[in-house]
Order: sequence, then structure tokens, then C-alpha cells
Amino acid sequence: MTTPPIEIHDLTVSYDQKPVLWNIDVEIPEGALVGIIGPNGAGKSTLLKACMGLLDLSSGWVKIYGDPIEQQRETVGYIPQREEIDWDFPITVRDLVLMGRYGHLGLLRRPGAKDRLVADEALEQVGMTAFADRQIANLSGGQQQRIFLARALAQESRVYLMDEPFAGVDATTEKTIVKLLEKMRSESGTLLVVHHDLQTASEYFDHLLLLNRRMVAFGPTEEVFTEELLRKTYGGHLTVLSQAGEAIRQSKSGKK
Amino acid sequence: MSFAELTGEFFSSLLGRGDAAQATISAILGACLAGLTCGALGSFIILRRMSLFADMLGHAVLPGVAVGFILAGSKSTPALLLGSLAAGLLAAALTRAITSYSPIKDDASLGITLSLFYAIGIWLLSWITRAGPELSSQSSGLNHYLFGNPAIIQTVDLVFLVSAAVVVLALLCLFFKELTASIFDPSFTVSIGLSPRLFDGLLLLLLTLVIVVSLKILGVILVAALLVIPPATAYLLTDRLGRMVALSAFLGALSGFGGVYLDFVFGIGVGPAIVCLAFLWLMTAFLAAPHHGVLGRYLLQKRLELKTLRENLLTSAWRIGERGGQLTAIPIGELANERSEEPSATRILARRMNGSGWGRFENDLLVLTSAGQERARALMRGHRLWEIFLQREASLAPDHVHAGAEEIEHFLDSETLRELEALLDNPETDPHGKKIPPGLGEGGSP
Repeated sequence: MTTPPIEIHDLTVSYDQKPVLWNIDVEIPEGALVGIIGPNGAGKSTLLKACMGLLDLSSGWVKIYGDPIEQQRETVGYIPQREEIDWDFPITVRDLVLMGRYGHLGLLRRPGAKDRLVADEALEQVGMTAFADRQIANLSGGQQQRIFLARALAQESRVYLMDEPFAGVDATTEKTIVKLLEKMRSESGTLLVVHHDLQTASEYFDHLLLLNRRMVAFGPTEEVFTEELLRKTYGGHLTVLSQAGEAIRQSKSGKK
Repeated sequence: MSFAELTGEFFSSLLGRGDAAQATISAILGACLAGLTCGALGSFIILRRMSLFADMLGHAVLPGVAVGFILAGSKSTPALLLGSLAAGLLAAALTRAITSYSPIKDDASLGITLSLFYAIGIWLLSWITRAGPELSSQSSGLNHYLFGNPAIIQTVDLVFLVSAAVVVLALLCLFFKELTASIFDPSFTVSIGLSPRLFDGLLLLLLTLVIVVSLKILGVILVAALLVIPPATAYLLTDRLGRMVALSAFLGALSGFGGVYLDFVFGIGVGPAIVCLAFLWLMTAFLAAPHHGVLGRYLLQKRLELKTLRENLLTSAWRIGERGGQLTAIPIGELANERSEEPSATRILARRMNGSGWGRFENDLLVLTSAGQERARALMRGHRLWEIFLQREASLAPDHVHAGAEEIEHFLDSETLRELEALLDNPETDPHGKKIPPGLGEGGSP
């Protein structure tokens, strides 16, 4: 049996004592283009952050090709949500994309000619070459997402975790991004993408992970994109989990 | 002595050899070095939103100065520096502890630490002056740490300033890409295996170091100014971090030099002079910076307003022409009637057409050039095409589309117009049944 690119085992994550993800167990197969869908507050971004080692885990573990994430940093590229960034920061589009090379460079080394080449190719692929020397402010939402994708491409990773790459994007850019995701999947490997639009989810992704604080289902899109499972994901029953989480937080922090 | 004489004396003293000249040169070197280092480091500080933190640290090192003095029994520079360093780090830890273990937010926590440490500092200083003779006899000049005074800069202070400058600049250069990443995008930075917390720690250490060696120049109260104002100025002037750091370091050094000079000539105190000068650069950038300057944006807006006003006259003229009037010279009365305003108001507007190349105000007529007539036609075309677009594509009612078109007509270029026309299958009339002028050369701006 081959080692899966991402294996999540009994993962529970809490914010301020309050569990937001419960006992997630999943193995993502090699070469899958996975959409993570679920209602607001379902823990979609949290799941990605937990996989990236950005959060402390309450229990369980995540392995990338059989190793903890710390040993596989270069294997995994991460695209944070667009809102997390100060877009007034004095940096050009090209320099932002070059950041994708930092992981390969390690401490103290400056990006070289090869890194510049990789960054320029990445910009070319997302159609943002003309903007290379512009400061990142004044880009449209779609352009911002595209340079984030270019930075990810410049990382040359095998696994990508993307937090809402379609948020705030116009229809044309959305098509460009979809094509790019398919290309990245066929060239490099496995993609895990947080997506908020149910309408397009079944069309864009070959696997879906239905999430609402716990994992409702994971599998090929045609198997899990069913009315019953979707109702389970978006329906009211799972809000019980959030109430339970709140109760745990209150008792642990001594508040009534 | 006059201003010019004092200026002459200032510069000739730089070439002199005596003690006074030596003191002036030391003061200038010290102020420039402090400005340079603070400016360079400050760029990272303001981007990391640590400005208030820097201000807090500036105040918080005061008890460290006092304790260093008490323990060493003299104003030995290394002792005072070590004391300040310890106090600064302690204050940083306290601020962090307050926000981590209580719901109190950053700004309140900074306010608490700042005032507490400053109060303890003042208390210790006044205790020293009342303590036994062996302490208080040594203590004269400790007040300089409160307000700063480059005149007391000695060789040993310069050695510390140079060392700090070398350490700070070297580390900023070495870790430039890591600092950039960790300030700009902390999540991504973790994802590539670096720790933003580590670089926050580095910034904190460098910040304390810079503040401590700059104290004698600016004093605890004003030291944050050099860490914030020159970087803020550079931030307005450039869009690249590397240039921002260099520019900010230069402006800091310039303020330092200018401050010593202004103090020499006007005797206003070096610290205040440095801060005022730094603010002067900031104001200049605020008003005149190429992209972010207020003046540039104001002028741009005025130009746009004038263009809109002229173009609105052109479309009024076109409407008169459409009803069978002629388009070369329109009587003001007719124009006023079309625009439903007093002729006196129309006259004022028509005068502003002068110099546009589209037309001029002459003998109570608005005389249009061929360029003006062409522009009027293009504007009308844009206006009516846009109305159709709004009605068809945005499903607006015919009586709702005029206002939107009135605004957009000034911004449609010929390429967009052609696209729009193709998209709408080359319509001939607008939603109100008015004829759409055909596209020729489109006129454009004069």
C-alpha cells in the first residue's frame, strides 16, 4: 500500500477550550482534487490550518506522506485567505511570488536567477506578467487570488492546501483558476481546496469532503454529492455539536 | 548674533579642533547614527504595527537607567545600558502577560506598562538625588536620559551607537526576506517552516537595543519619534520595502543632523528640533508624495471636475443641435434654457470652457471647435449606449437609466464604446427613442 499524501487521524481542534473540529479521520488519495464544503463556521479553514501545523491540536495527528508536517514543509504549499493580508504592504507582485521560493532557499540565502525564472513562469501561468512590477494594492479580488496562486506554483510542491481561492473572484478569473487547479493536479499531485459554493462544487472537484464540525463524508464526488449527505451537512442536527462545544468551554473556563 | 553668523559658526566649528568643536562633532555623529538606525529598524516596526509598543519601550527603560546607576554607583555607560535592556525586556514581558492572561486589549496593556515603568523610573531618579552623598554627587546629568542631550555624547557613547548600528543593519540585511515574510504573511511563513514569533523576538531585541543607545540623544519621551516618523514618511514615498528602509534611514540621519544644527542656531533643544524636522519631512511627503500625496489627489480631482463640467456643457449643446439648432455657436440663453438654469450661471460655466480646445465663450455665445463638436457626439453616443446597456443587461426601467449614464459617459473610451456597441447589436435609438450618434473618431480628451 502506498503512503497517502495526507492522512488525518482522530483530529480534534479547539479554540479557547471550545472544540470546533471533532474526531476527523480521513486519508486523501494521491492525485485527488478535493473540495472541502460545509456551512459557515463548519471548521473548513481550521481543518487546513491544523494540517499546516498553524494550530495546536487537542488530539490526533496529521501526516504528510507518512511524516509530521514539520518534516514535509517543502512538500506542502499553503494559500491563506486573502483577507489575512495587508494589501498596502510595500511589496511588488513579483516579490510576493518570489516568497514561494523562500522555503527552498532556507535561512540567509537570497533568491537567485533560477528562483526569479520560476517566479516569472508562475506569473505567466496565471496571466499576471503585466503586473509583475506593480505594488500589490489596487489589484482586483481576482488578481489578488491569482498572484497567491502564482506564489503557490513557485513553491513547486506536491500537495496544496488552499483556503477559499474562489472568494471575491469574478466569473472569468474563476474559470482561469479552475483550469489552473486541474493543471496543478495533473502535474504535481494532490489539492485540498476550501470552497463555499455548493452550486459549482460538484463540477470543480473529483472528491468532496463534507464538513460540519465533524466529517460527514469523504469520497468521489458522484458518491458523496447526494441530497441525503448534503442535508446531513447543512441541516440543523449538527448544531448540537456547537452547543456541546460551548458547554465544554464554559465549564473549563469557569464561566457559567 | 544673526542667523547667518550662527550658521557660519556652526559649520566652521565642525572644522575646528578645540573641545567645543569636538563636542559639536560628537553630537552630530551621535544624532545621525541614532537617526539612521532608528529609521532603518522603524520601517519594520511600523509595518508590524509595533509603533505604540516602541513608544512604551522608550518610556519603560527609565527605571533600568536608574537601577543601573544605583548598582554601578556611577554613570558608567555599560551599566546604564544593561539596566535599560533588562527593564525594556521586562516591560515587554509584562505587556504580553497582561494581554495573554486577561481580556485586556493591546492598547490598554501598553498604556498600563508604559505609565507603571515610567513612574517607577521617575521615583527612582528622585530617590537617587535624595540618597547618600556618594550617590547623589555622581547623579548630575541623569536627567539627560529623560529629555536627551547630544552635547554630553562621549566617545564611549559613540562606540555603542556605532556597534548598535552595525548589529541592527547587519541583522536586518541578513534576515530581510524572513522579516518581510513574517510581517507580511505570518500564516504562510509558518507554512514554509519559519516562526514569525522568532522574528517578533528579533525585532523586540533590536528595538530595545536601539532605544537604549539612542536615549542620550532624544531621551525616553521622544525616542519613539525617530522610530516612527521617518519610516512613516518613507512609507508614503515608496512602494518597496528595501527602498523604504534606505529612505527612512536617510531621513532619520538627516533629521538628526538638522536637529543638532537647529539647536545650535536657535537653542530650541536637540530632541524637539529633531522631532519637528522629521515631522516637516512627513508633512511634505503627505502633501506632495507622487502616489499617496494629498496635493496630487486634490489636483487630479479638480481636473476631473473641470472636465466633467465642460463635457456636460458639450452634451447640452448637442441636445440643442439635435433639435435643429446649429452646433458651432450656441446662444447662452438657449443653453441656459436647455440646462434649466439662470443664464448668469451658464455664463460662468461657459467661461470655463476657455482653454479646453473644445470651445470658448464669446459675445454671449458658446463657440464650439470641431474637436468640441466631435467630443459632444462621442459623449452622447456613450451616454445612450450605456442607457441601453443598463436597460437590457441590468434590467433597469427606462426612467432609471439616465443618472447612471450621466456619470459613466465621462469615462467611456473609444474601445469600450465599440465593444458596447457590438454587444448591443449596433442599436440606433436609446431607451427614450433618441438617435444614437454614429462612431467616427470619438473625439477624446484635448
